Amino acid sequence: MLVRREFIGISRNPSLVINPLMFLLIAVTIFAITLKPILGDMGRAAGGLIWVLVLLSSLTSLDSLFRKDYDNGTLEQLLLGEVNPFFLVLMKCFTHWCSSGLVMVIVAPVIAMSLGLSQDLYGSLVLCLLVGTPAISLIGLVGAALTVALGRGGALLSLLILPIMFPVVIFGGGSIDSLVMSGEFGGGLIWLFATSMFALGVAPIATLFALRLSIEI
Amino acid sequence: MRAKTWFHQWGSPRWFFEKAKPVSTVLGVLSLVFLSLGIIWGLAFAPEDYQQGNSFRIMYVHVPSALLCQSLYLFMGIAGFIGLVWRMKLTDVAISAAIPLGMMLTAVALITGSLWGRPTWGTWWEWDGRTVSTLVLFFLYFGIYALRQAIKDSSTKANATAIIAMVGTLNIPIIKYSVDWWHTLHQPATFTITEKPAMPSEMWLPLLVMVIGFYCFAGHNVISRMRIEILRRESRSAWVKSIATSGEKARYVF
Repeated sequence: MLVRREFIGISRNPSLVINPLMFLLIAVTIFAITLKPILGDMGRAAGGLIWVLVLLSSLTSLDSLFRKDYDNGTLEQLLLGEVNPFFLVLMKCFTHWCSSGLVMVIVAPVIAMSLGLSQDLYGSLVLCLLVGTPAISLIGLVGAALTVALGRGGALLSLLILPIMFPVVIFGGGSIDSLVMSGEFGGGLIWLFATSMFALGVAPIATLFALRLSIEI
Repeated sequence: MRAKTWFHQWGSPRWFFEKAKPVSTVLGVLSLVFLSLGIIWGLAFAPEDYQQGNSFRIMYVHVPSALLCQSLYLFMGIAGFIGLVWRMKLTDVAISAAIPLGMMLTAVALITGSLWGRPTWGTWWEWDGRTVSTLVLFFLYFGIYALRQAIKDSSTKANATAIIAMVGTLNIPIIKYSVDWWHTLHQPATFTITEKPAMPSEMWLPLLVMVIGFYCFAGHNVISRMRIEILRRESRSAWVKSIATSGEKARYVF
């Protein structure tokens, strides 16, 4: 029921999906133009770049994640309502992931192509992004919940969340790099999975605390 | 029953303010003793390094500050956890006292590391595993600092800080591991100071003294700041007012 509400919300306001996606495409274009000399070479730089771009684009949609529900009081009602709030947080995370992470996984091969990653690696890249992007949504949710009541979340949200995202980008970018160099993930994928699982264990609880704090109950 | 009373005492800022004074003094004296002993021993009497000459002596500041900035973040994480679970006011006072010191020590560790790197590695900045972890730690500190600046209400501020400090603390081992993993992936051709043959005891004993001195100083600094912060927060309560009007201000605070 709640999941349906979220998806209806997204379908009525497609900018939630389109804006981060356009941000991603514009950023890719900028990188492709400015870094032209070092791209190529089977795209050693591509893996890291893609991860950084996916991370930054996800951030652009995080700020508005709870904002509207907070402003019109829905968030308070939802947290006080009969639905288990823990489930509510997981659901929010799932819909955020669908509208940002999943979309980026889908367009990843296009980005990889424009940044010069070799074609054999597209499958591995998609797998890697599938495993790692949930961690971005989960950790981002904590920051979004903490800053929702502050009004001017934007820059603060990034300051809070980006240092915590380091492992995701390092394992993600590193495993693509390792793939390009040696054809193997080099342990990166497993650690990326572990990071996502760890985030799944910690982030929803922290988000719930932070939301309760933001609506002051 | 006694344990319970003991536990509840920690919820009272006044109790802490009074009991912490001698602790703070003792730690302050100890830190003076250890730091001056360690500095003189390390800078003047420890033998020269056969590879690095005298430049290695910056280690006596670099290593303790690098250790301490991590310990302080861990301290904030634990304080945050206690504050969230048992709703103690004191833990937020502790966190607010630890942030400036921790941030400054992280900066000291980075700067001294950079100064040390120049003569030994031939570069001011090397993207080495430890360097990156310490830099990320600095960013984590700054995130908390920025969050605290942004929130006005003090109880919201306390809880928000506690949450992010806990999440950050849980993340530190992962960050460390990921950076190490990334480091092995790239195999840079630098020699690392840490994997050198073990130091002779004339070198590491002064280091140990310095580390102890730094920890004592941190204890003294954090507790003193906590006491001052308590006075500020409780400035409307009767006991603080009585201190302020008793004419013995200096004796109570310092």
